Amino acid sequence: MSCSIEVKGFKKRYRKTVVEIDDLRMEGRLSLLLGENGSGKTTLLKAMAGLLRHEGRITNTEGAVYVGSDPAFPSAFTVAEYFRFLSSLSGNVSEERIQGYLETFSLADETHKSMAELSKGNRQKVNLVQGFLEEKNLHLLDEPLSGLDKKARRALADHLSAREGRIVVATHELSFLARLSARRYRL
Amino acid sequence: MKTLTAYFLKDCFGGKTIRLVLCLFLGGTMFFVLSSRPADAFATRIIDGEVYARDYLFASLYFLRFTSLFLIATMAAGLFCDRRDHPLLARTSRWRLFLSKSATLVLSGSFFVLSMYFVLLFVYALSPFRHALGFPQGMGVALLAHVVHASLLSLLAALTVKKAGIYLVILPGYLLADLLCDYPLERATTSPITFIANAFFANIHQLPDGGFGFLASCFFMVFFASALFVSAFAIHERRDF
Repeated sequence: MSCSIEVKGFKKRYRKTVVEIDDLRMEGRLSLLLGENGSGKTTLLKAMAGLLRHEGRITNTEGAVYVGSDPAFPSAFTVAEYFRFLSSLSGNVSEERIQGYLETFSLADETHKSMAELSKGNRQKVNLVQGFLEEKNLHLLDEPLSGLDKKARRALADHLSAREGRIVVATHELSFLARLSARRYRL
Repeated sequence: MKTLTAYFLKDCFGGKTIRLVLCLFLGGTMFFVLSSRPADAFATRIIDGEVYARDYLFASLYFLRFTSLFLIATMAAGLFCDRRDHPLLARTSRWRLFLSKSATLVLSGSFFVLSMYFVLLFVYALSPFRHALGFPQGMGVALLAHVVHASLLSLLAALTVKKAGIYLVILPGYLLADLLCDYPLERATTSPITFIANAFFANIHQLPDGGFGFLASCFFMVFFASALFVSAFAIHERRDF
């Protein structure tokens, strides 16, 4: 936890635009990444998770889990089957832990449903749960409130406050920021 | 790897149709084996006698070949260009993901080819009945074009929902085309395994049945597939997700 995340000389070129971050240092367990649309929050989070090629240096983000804002899931799976598959892939997720998360995010009654049948909010909850199930030191949440109702937002805020391990959240929601004691960084 | 491949197979074919796919795959494989060289007598019974003229065969196989390629290409696009990989990449490496996807593609592609082959053999098997019924001659080409067109549209529709049930749409199309197309003038005595291999790996108009042409084209295909595999792997390892 003592190591800070450092971003130096970051540059990601797209076809017509370039995202550049000269120097950014994120410290503390919970960091909030703020910025206008197009300022490069998603790009930075994806780069931190190793999902994007980029120029420059990003340190202390090994094994980060990226949880995107617009999740897509295989429609052939039910919620229960999907989590079972992910836990078999990870190899270290117990049934109790899955059940605990499902209850925290009010998904326990949705497990028999196909992924295609889920509402946008429930898809986002599934997305968050799959990210949290993976026990890694760093979680990168990109607009995690997208589609969530009040109850789910509260559950998420409580979970983020209580969770061990470093978390970086990119969000626009100012009301959500007030709930969390976190360091803020603007791009 | 096994878990991942099973996941991708289920994703491609849908939860309920996966059993149907496996049954058809096994059935097709059995048929493939039974009708190959060691079982020439059986194969001959199927295509013996009044078989199809090269033109009709070429038209059918042309469609079959490109339908298979189209199916495989669409499946590859669906498999390799996807946001659904984010949760998987947090749990496994890129190369494992790539190999699992490739295995899925090979299995699915084999299934497509074999099931197309199966459909074609079924159509062959019905040819004596059509001959006996004396359906009109000379009106086949335009109708075949319509059937091909309709089948392609059905195929596109089915691909969007990723259901293997498309074969239920294609099959009546072939039967209809078979009933209404011109009847053959030539005899084809090639065994089905050589014939279908030539159809998929070479141009049946240019290469002799079997022999060196077939082997050369197989070698070319293996070489081409290997080069494609290595390039795809390199791209997959470096691409943005």
